[in-house]
Amino acid sequence: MKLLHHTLVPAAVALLTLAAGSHALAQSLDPAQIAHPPSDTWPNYHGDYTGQRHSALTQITPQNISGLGLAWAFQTGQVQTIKSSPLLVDGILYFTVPDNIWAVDARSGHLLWHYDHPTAGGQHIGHRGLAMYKGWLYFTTPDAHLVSLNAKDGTVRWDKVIADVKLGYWSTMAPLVVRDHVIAGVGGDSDNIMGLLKSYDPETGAEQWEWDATPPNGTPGKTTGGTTWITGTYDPELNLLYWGTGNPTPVLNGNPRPGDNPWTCSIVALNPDNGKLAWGFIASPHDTHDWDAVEIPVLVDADFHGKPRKMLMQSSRNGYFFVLDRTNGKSLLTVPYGPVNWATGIDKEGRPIPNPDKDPKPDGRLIAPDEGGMTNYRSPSFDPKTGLFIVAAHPSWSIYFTKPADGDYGWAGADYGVWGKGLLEAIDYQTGKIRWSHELGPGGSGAGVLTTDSGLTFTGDAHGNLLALSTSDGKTLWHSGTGSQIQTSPITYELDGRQYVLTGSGGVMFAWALSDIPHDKSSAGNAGR
Amino acid sequence: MLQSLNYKRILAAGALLIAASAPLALIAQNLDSDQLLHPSPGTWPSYHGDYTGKRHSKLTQITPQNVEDLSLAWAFQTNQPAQIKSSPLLVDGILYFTVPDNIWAVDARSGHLLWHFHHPTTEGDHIGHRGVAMYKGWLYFTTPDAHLMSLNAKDGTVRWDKIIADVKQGYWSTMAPLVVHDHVIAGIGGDLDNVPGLLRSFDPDTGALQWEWDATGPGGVPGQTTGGTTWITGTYDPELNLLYWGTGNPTPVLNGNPRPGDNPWTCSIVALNPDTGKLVWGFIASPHDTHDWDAVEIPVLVDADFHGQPRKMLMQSSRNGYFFVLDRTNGKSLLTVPYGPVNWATGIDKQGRPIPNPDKDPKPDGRLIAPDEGGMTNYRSPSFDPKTGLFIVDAHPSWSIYFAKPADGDYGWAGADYGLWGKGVIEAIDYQTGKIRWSHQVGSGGSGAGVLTTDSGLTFTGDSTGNILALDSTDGKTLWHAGTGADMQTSPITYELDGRQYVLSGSGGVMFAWALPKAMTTSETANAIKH
Repeated sequence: MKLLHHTLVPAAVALLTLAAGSHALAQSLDPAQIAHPPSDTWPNYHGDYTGQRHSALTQITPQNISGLGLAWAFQTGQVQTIKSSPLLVDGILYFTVPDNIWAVDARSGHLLWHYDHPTAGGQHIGHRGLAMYKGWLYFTTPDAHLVSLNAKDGTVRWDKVIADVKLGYWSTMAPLVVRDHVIAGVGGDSDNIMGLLKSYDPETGAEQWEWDATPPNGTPGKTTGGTTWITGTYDPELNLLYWGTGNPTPVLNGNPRPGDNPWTCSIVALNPDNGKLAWGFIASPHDTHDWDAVEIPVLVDADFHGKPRKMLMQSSRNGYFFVLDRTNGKSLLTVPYGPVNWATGIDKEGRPIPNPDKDPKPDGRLIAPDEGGMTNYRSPSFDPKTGLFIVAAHPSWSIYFTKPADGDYGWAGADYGVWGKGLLEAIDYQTGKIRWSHELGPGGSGAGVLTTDSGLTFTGDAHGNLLALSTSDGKTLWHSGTGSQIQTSPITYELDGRQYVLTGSGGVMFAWALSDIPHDKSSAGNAGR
Repeated sequence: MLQSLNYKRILAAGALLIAASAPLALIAQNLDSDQLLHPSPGTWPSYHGDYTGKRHSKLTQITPQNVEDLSLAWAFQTNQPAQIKSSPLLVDGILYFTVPDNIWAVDARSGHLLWHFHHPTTEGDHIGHRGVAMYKGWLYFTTPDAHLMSLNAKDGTVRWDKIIADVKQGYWSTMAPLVVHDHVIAGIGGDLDNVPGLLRSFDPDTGALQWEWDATGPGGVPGQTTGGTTWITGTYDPELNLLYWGTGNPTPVLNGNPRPGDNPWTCSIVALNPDTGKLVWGFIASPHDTHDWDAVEIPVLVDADFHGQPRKMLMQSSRNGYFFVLDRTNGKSLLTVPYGPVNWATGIDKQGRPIPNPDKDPKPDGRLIAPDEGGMTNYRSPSFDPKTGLFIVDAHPSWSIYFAKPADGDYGWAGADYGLWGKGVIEAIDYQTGKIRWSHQVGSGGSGAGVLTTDSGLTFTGDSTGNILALDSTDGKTLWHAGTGADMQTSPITYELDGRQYVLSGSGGVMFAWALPKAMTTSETANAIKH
């Protein structure tokens, strides 16, 4: 009656097998590869430095997508939702939830190793993934440490403190490797503490520089905040690092922190070698609605109104789509991409002008978008062929309250979501016009967006379906239920001539591929469909 | 800042509840006895899909030719760590499946949750759960503390809750009850104590006890065995009006000295009258078992020729390593043959029963025994494919070392056993000879997956690394596979809804629904597309 228990000896054999398998592989990532990643890698959070989350792969097409099937699934076997974007280097995938890393064979979905290091302090709200440099992984922790591990077996090399968890810092983000810098940020807006970004030596973990988003904690009349909890992007030619920063603190009560509150709710350009600010752009001056501007600063080189430009685009949590000249931070376009009611207009620098009457009040204010924002950490994608910036948007309303009794520390108010829906929007970056939109369902979707050169857009809906849409018009070409909300941004890669699309949902990582490919009859077999 | 995406406050939460309950009112779940006898392709109304236990479907949309296009229609995540070991029911488009203390009702077309019943119990054994039974609009669910609950299939509300057996004595229940006429038949597990196995029949409406059948005499009778649990769902022959059930090992488990003799009806296949619970015949698959080899494996009912003569047969691939074919009208043996390495019997007696070798009983200095304690197979279902005449089972060639010494006593386990080595092999057994026509390796350790066959010539099962496999039933060759990320501990089912055939397989905490792309199933080109 004890059922299948393969005790003792088989367990030891299993361990040996795992160890042997991982030694046979030579994981190593030359940081120069990140700028020009081969199609069999996804070497950082975004897949490259631009943050476009766009792939040149074309094996899966609008014509054959109906044959997309599950190649494999990997079950974490625990209840935390996967919110990370996997890395792929040398055929091995690395993905995370708080305190956990899995290294998984990208062809089969088989486990190579699992790192599990419970932490009691900090914040376990989610985890976005890892960075890699040569044979080493970089992992942030709920108690705001940066840990370096051996990619072969998950053993820890060193463990450094990014910021003091006792002050209210945590970390959920995937670090960014730029040459010999490992750049890691923090979360933490339940306390009045300044946001910061730190750079570490990839080998020794020695701190190289720190950039602070605001003046030090406790400076009278000055804001704190400006967390750095989403991975930035990088322009190798300009040698500039682009990063979004979080909301000011206290969060909903702006009275103790008059002015624009730089560099909170901002997009900043930093020198990656010394952390010095090159320029900054405040997406939400004097924010009082928790609207981080941490959303991906997407780097695009293209014409803007007839002139070639080096641009930075962000669909910001506050409901505005920004296009900046990323050489100097000057605004090219600022336009809402959904219902917003909190600004009186746009100033000459391209920044929304907050309406003081839309600050949280004792009798409440109905505000669009809601506190979760018009979008959030989920990645958008830029499709170069169509010139469309595609984002999982979230038209929505919250009621915001604040009263003197809420004080001037931490949240300092209250907000209640009233209604929201998910809407995938394809934005023309030259005008901000929405060329097409695709309803994703009530509540909204947490899924990010991936586009491919074959004209496909991958994302998820509010019911946990993975969707493949036509990038040109947003029509659904294929879908499959995944059983849980997709809180990740898809990635894609090609191994052994087979293109995979990866999506995490709930506690499961799904790898999708065409069934026909191994038999090399995809073109012929699908011609008649 | 990180409060991102919280749609749960105030109005949004209310709206979700309404959305979840509205579809329920529109659906009329109802399962009558006739559907249990003759299930339509859009249902899977009992644990085995029908009363025969063949786990074979007449559906043919998915074929050896197009199976390479099989894709995921949807997945359902239970989002909790207990492994799904249940076989889902499907009635009126709604699937019902379980883990201990939990039932999910899920839309079979979309995988969307309709309701979730969660009733934590602290007592008993949470080792696994096999599923629910259904009669009219009511579900029947066994609990780790050996209760039988009846719930409204529409919303999971509890109608009544009866005790099958006393958890304090060491009983639990994991099995899916079987509904026959107006009987809900439920069994128990429990071999950590010297307690008799029993089967009980309950009135489907009131839950009143109708009868009880005891596998052995009461506990505590000197020289007599206890045991003979009833933890896997039996089968039923409507013409003979006989219920067939396998029973578990005797207790004490590894020490046979206190219970001399054959120990009926432990490790047995029994035929009972479903109206009275009276024994009609019994066959002891492992006389005087000392290796924990329940004979609870599915008693598969097949009507076919046997050596040229039409027969009403019962077939079991038993945990002890033997494949049995019985005449199910009287329990007489037609064939007894091992289906993998066995070393514990000196021969087969004239009644077709293996003769245990006393030297292979657990000993103080240990005995190397094949198969291992988990057995040559276990609760995972085999399948009988009528076209090929193959009985297809997920077998487990394996070895354990068994120990027993006086200090282990004569209560409960009363010894020790250690698994040494095992592997998984899908075996296609010719039921007339016991010969293995083909076999297919499914990996080291073994697979926990059951087997499903279809009329199109496909065999669905799983391997030891969590792949679901589609094999050619004629030769066992792999036609398709997909990794599911966890060991499959379930037996697949299949059904057709709106002209689309689905195959369901549970693995880890996820239920996967597989189907051909809609483009292939919704047009007349469905069959032509690959040719």
